[in-house]
Amino acid sequence: MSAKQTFLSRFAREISSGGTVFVLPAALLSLVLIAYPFFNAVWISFTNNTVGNPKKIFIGLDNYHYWVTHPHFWKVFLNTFVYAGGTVVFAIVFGFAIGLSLHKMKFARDFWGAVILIPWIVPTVVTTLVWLWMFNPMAGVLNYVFTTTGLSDYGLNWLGNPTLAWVSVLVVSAWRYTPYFGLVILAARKEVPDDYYEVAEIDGAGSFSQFFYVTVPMVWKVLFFTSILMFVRVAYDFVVVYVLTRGGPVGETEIISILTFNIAFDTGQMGLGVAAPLLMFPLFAPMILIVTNSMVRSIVGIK
Amino acid sequence: MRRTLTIFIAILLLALGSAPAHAADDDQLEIVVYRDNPGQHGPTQELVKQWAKETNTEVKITMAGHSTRRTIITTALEGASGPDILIMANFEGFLYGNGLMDISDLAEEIGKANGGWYDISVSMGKIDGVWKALPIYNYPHMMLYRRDMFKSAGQDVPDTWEDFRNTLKALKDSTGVKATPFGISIGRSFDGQQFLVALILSHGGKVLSDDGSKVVFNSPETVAALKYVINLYNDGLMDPTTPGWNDGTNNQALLSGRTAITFNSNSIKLQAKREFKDLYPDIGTAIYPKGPDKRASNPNVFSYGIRKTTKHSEKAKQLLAYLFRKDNYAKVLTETEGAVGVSLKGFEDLDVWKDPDNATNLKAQPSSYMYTLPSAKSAEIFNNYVIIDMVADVLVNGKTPEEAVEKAAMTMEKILLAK
Repeated sequence: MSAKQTFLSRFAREISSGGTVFVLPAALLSLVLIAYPFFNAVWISFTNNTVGNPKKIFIGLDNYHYWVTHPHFWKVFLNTFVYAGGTVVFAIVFGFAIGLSLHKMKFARDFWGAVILIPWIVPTVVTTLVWLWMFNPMAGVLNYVFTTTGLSDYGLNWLGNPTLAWVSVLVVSAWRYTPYFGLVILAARKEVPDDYYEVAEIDGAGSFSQFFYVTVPMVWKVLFFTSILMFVRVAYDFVVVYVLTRGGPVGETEIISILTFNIAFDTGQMGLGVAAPLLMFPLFAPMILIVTNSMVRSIVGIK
Repeated sequence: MRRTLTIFIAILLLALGSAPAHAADDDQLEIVVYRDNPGQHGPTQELVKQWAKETNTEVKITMAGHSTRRTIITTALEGASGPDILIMANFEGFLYGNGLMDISDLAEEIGKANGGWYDISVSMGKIDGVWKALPIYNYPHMMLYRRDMFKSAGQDVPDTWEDFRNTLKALKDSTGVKATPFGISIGRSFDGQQFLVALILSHGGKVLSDDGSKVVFNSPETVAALKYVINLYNDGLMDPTTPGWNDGTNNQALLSGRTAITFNSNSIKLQAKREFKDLYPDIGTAIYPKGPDKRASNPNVFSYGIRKTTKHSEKAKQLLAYLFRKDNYAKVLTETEGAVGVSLKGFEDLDVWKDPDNATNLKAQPSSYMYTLPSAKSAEIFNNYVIIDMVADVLVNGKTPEEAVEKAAMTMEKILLAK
């Protein structure tokens, strides 16, 4: 038997095995819902496609060249990293507070665990609209507090001042992802044997030392991989920034998803719009591969 | 067994790969109706349902707000399915022209039946010389003010931008230091952009040279208009939180009494009628003040178009003709107190204009201008807030008005004159 025949028969054997059959539905769904749209988008990014125009003319790397030489794109690129990084950092910090508090709770832990999940479960657009009202310059509760307590005559410009706009979008985004990190940290903390803390206490370690030298090292691996996945997810987030600021003022809070939406939907330039987020893909793909590779290795037991 | 399974999987994959690129068209006619503040969507829905009943046609109505409209249109055109009749704003007919049907016959018929189209309607409807959009409503932008506050300050409605500034000063002085007499969203919002466009045009600024070959936006006139707004803000005559406002905040500010004047469509007055009946008589309307060059305002022109790939073209045309029928058009105008404006001259004699506040919507028509010649690239500039961003560039980014105008002009040049 030739090498090709050996390969084909082995291939046929593999794909008709019981394991493959069980994976097939998910694989087909992925092909249809993820792979096809993705590769279609890649193709469109190499064309001058506009909305409603059936003609797609191949223009090579022109769209990518446009973005790479466009100063605003690099600002958006940086904004995206700040937004994703800031969200993950704040969510981890507050996640620790929530996770460790839940761990220490003796009563009603399940109840509070469910309550804390509310920002994660309620649709993002709903919660963000509520925040939008809270930031409203004249009817919002935040400015009501500021004006009635005399802290400000007219209230703060939560969404119109660039610094405050950044604070606003980061607060809302971090608030949304904090429950997720809280639960991850709670689950990871539960796996840490209590002996470690007893030994640390015997050695004279206080709460802070126990946190930094016992808790953090024990949960960091899970947290590291979760953070990478969440970083990529938040980087492509759309709803929070779109509802709150639309990327303003003057593009100060514009992230890659907003730029893509503006170009593709508001100006109808599909090819150009799709090229922008694809430029970030080479950065994020290795991150995802590292995480999934490590996860597979730890499941299979390879060190 | 193995061979059978292998063959089955291969056939399934092939079948998936050769599936048609888009779903089959729906069996029923579908129209997108714009949900607006004046409430035009209410009578429009009723008319569509009435037509559906009279013609025994199944019609699906998709309601679309300002922020979802373009997404719905894009999805329909790209997917060649979904809504057959689309509602577009301003220059969007030029953005989506390739996906729209030629409806010249319908446009000619409607024009003849209703006294002819306004020039602004023709410029929005004819895309590359072919009617592909039917402007149905030219929502005028105008001055909305608090009559009660004007009365207590002893002020008349300002006629020029100079009068406007003096009026603001008088209002501010009369109600004390905390008063912020004027407010309009100067962040990324349509109302704010319409206001600034009106100011620029009334000062003599323009985007393109007369032959359309050069961008002439960077001019002393444009700078003067921008400086006017900046000075209003810096002199405390404009609410300091306006950079963070959206189109709805204008309404809230005037209705709550935080401001005494804004620029908007008549929706504020209609909202007062629905929700603040005591306040309703105190909301006055007036046309835009006059600038050194002319009186100008920038309307929102809404047009219907038919998706080229629709399977219901005749029915779609019939429905649109029905909506443009004078008695049906009058119904919408009456229920919105004229807020939707008119796109055809034959609607100037309707009873709705007998009320002076309603009549402002009609008075605003002769001085209504689009910010530049219509095209897909003009849509790109407007939808990307290139003009209103100038204000934030000065107030937020610390640019001078000259630098902000220069930056906007360069952006326009890149877009408008790109090959």
